[in-house]
Amino acid sequence: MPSLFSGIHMALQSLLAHQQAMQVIEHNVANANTPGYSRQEAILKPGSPYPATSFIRAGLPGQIGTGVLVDRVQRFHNEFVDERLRDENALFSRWSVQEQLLRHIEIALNETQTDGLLAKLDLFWEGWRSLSTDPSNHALRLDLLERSKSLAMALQNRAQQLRTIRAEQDLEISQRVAEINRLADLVARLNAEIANVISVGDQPNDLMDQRDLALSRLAALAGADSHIQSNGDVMVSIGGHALVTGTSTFELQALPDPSNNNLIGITWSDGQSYAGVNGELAGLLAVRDGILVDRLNALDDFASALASRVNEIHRNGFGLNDATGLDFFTGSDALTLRVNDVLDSTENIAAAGSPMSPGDGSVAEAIADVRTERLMTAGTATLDQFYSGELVTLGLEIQKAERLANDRQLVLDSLGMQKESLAGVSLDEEAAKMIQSQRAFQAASRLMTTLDEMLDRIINRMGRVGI
Amino acid sequence: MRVTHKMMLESAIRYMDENLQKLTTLQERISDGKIIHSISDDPATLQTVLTLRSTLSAGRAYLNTANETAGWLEANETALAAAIDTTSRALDLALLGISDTSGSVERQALGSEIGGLLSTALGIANSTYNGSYIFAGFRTQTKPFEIIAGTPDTVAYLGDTGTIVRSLSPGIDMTVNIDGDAVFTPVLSALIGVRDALMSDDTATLQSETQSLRDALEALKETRTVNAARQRHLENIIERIEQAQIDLKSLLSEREDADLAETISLFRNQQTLYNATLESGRIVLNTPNLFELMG
Repeated sequence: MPSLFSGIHMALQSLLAHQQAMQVIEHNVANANTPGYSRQEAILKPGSPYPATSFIRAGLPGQIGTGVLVDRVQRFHNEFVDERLRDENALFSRWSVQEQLLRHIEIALNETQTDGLLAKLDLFWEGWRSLSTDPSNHALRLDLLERSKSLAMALQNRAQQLRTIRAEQDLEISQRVAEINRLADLVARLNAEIANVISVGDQPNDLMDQRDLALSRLAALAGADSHIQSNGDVMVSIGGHALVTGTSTFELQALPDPSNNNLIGITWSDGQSYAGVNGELAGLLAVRDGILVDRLNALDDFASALASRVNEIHRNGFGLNDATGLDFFTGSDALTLRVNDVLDSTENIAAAGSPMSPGDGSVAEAIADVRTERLMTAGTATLDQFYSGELVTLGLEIQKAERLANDRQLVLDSLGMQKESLAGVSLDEEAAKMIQSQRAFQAASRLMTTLDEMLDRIINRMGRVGI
Repeated sequence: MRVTHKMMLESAIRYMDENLQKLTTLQERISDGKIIHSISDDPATLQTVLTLRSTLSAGRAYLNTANETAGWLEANETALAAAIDTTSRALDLALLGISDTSGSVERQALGSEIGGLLSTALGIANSTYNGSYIFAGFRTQTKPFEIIAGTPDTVAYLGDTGTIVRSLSPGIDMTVNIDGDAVFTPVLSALIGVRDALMSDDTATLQSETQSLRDALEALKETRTVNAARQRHLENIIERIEQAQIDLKSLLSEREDADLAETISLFRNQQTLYNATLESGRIVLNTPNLFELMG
């Protein structure tokens, strides 16, 4: 026979269980806006039943329940969605960083009507053509000199800005490498703590949220792959090289690379080279060591072709003072290209094809005609065409990065929605569950009061007839 | 699908962001009327735009050259016309001198008048355009003709035979100057000869020198015809370049200019959308949750 005292115990258990459920709800509400938080729920289960005690089981029903217990605190989470999110995040981060960096290059190279390199190049050719029509005119010579200087300056500025953008990536890269190493340590430490908690049969829900957040950041930084092992540990690798296994980590190093202008290079501490293909680092490296280098080389090609062809013609010409054999430009690449200082005395500028011929503009005209000479890409493009082709290549690179980043963003958003839909805290839901728990709590306490009254009846009132 | 408040909030933020971005793009287009603002806006069109701009600039340079050349040819024309007038007048005087009705006194007078015409002709032969001597070949900074006193006076040509050629379009070249030595030296020499013959009352020499003067005048007239033909040719070229510039400008405008009427109506439309997004965002963000409704 069950005793009334066991009923009090059952009511107590119910109070405690719903109090605990309430605590989980409080935790959810508090973390409704915490990044990476997965909602939790206290899962209730009935206590172990026991058979009714009687000598002969005279009509007494079978097993009797013993109230309610909190079985476990469940974390709402789907490893598959998380894994997809990490993959997409790695791709998105790569292309969005690449796009941002390319936008810097775009600003440096932007071709506006007033400040474009091509606009300046046009003015340069126009200057030579004007001079050819009136070769002894000092004002035209001065004008040409200024136009040439401004063209050289424009090339130099662009080369300088691209080099600066390239060098600035060192800081970006080493900061990210430091962050990866820090996160790897964090994941290894969490691996250890999570294993401890699991070993005593508890759920390390919040620790797992923390670890997932770190893994997602690692994926964004370096495209790190993460796999949960059967013992609850997570194993992280980048480009086939392990970063975290169990509680041990492998470190990445960011050191100046002598084979690449002493710019920062990434290697593993065991000497292997870094081979991450996604994440922000991959985007930074692809632009720094690919696209930017190509653009710089193209600028240099452009500058050297311009200088050598103009010089070749100019050397054969004669100035107003019959100066001849002079180079128009000095320097051989975009960064060093300058107008020859000697030409600051503008009578040295050679417009004539023969000495003592101030009215002869044939050399100036020959230089103005370089505009239509196919000097670039194995004689298939003029300087104008070559440079505008360069701009188009850059424009297409930017569009590609932008499109890929946008595509990944869409997938990432919808996966994020899926994750949020499963793991996010809904305040309405928590409010409803709170009322549910509150009512159950009230019922349990009412039950206890009733049992108390029943005991009071038996203990204090029974057998006192006539007293 | 289970929806949480955070999802609604994030969506609302994203929609507002996207719509504002589109609004900004359209605003940028309206503000300067151009479609392309940066390289990546439309790389393919950008290439065309850059090529057109560069072709326009080349055309502008050719047009400047052509206008400059027109000025030079006009200076040629003025000088030649004046030279023809002067020479014709001198020829008339010479013929008067040859006539039997003239005596030595009259010839002296005619001679000194021709002396005056000679210095006029010398001035014409030394004409400048924009600070350059136009009949000096390449030596545009050197006064090309001088009369060196002697018996008789001689004409010295200090220029050269340089031919100034200007390119007016790809493949179209035009000679601008006139060989001063070939055209003016005979005129000046004949004038000197006629003057001296008149002064010395030497009718035989006067006859032959007058013939030289007549030949020199013919040469001047021929040169003037050549120059006039060049002027007509140049006018055609200028007209063609100008027409090409106009065509190029309209092509460029087609590529890089925004259709304002269309852009503004798109802008209005986008503005309405943005307002609607803001309104729906406001409602979403103000939606109470169950906690707030429970007393």
